[in-house]
Amino acid sequence: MLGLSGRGLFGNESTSTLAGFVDQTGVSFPILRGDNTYFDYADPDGAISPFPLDVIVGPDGNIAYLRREFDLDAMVMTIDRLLPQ
Amino acid sequence: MQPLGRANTNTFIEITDIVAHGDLAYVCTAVRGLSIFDTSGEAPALLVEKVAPGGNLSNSQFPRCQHVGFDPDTSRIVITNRGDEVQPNPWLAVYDVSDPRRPEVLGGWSPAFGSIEGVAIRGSRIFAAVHGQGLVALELAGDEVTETARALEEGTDAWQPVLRNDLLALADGEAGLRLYDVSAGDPQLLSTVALTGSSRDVLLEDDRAYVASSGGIAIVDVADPNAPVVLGEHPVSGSALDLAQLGPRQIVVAEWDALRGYDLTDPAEPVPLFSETVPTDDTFSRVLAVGAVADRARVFGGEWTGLHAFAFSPSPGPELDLSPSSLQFGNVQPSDPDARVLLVSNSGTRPLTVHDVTGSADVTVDETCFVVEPGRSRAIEVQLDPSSTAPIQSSVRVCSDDPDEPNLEVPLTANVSGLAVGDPAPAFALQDLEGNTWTLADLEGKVAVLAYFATF
Repeated sequence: MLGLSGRGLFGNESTSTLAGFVDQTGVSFPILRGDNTYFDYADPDGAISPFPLDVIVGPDGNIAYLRREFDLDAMVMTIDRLLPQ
Repeated sequence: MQPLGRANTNTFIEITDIVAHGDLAYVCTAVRGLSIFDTSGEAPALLVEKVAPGGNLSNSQFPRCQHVGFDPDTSRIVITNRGDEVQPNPWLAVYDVSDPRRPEVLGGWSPAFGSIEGVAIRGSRIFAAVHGQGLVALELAGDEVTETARALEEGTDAWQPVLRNDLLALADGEAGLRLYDVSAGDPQLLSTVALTGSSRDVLLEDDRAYVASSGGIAIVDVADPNAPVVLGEHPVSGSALDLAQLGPRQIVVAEWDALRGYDLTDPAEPVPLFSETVPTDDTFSRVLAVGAVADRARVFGGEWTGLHAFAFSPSPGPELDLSPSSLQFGNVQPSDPDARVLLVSNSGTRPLTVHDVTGSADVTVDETCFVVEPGRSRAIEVQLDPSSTAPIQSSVRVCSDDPDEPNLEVPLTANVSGLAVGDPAPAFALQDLEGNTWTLADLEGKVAVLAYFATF
């Protein structure tokens, strides 16, 4: 699993902020940092948030799951389907 | 629960804390500071927003608020901000809200250390949870807020204090629940109760404390605060973030994915009362905060874009829930049908009867009439057989005998523009926090879960 983070609301978020996030939450997966900000993806009024977004890519490199709402059941079902039995 | 309405906000405001009292709700938002809503009607009505002290304490362009404490006897509230890149210094500010349309600032405080989270106030005494450090006692005198004592436990993650008489209960992260005697100026630690997960919020009711944590909910007997006893710990479906009291031995929990109510009369066997997904105009919902007014049977849920009001019925009954919250089919060709599973669940206390499941002309389902026992689910197959490759945006509707929400709909999409399930994933090359470069090609042959987010 990879976490991919944008640079906060305004693009001035430091790497140390992300490191603090990792410390506080205890996440163990790698966190990758992009250069875009929240407003690069949000609509002009901010009414539709681009985050969070969960994507599952299958062994063939194709998208098997793509959803902005966190749905653990659907993600587990997708992973179970993709993993070798 | 019966949805009553949503406040007039549809932009990203990120509600982080709610105190509901009488006909008012004091709502912290990470984007627009403190907002106060009139909740006497069905949908909450905004009275004032962007309440923040300004000056040296807060950024007036982006007023932020993380937590709120309220003293009904003096009509005083305290709001806090933890400090971040927008407002570098953590702060708290005290307001007189006798006139909720015109909050009057009484004083503020900004420490040179730590990060302020939850807060409690009684009269002129204030207790702030300092994340990463512990508990600080403060006093409002004139227009000055000054620190009077610290009860710092190095390394703890203090989240939320709550007061009852001379007892203060502190949800203290990995340390669990701490109980203090605050009869004197200097809080005296009486006991610490280790709990599963990281404790984040706490309620006091009679001789009990209810604690929300990453491990679920805990019920602790605090009749003797020097020797508290854990009566029960129970995992919950989501992640327990915020608590509110529904009535005697009944609580509602903001669990990120939904609001869930529990009857804790028997601390060993919590009884689910409801599970309420907060409806939004968007395709997702994140329930971060909850407030309740027990004598009005009202529950308020705060998510990223709005404040929602519900009427709570303590009487038992069936409760219809649907998962996932949307059915996304990706690209589906005519004469090559595809199917998704829709989970129909009953989180109520009586059997749920489903009368009908319907969709548009190109949708068929394998079951339309069935009964779901309390706490159980039924998986039904939703098949899409489109007549063309045109974009599809429709829904599947489930009709039941749920007394509050008999009919629920799940959006269904297919053949929409942009990336979809089945498309090749776009390549990327990004560095992790250690400077290592990762590419999607490195993961070929594996199942990769990519979680996109931003920290603010």
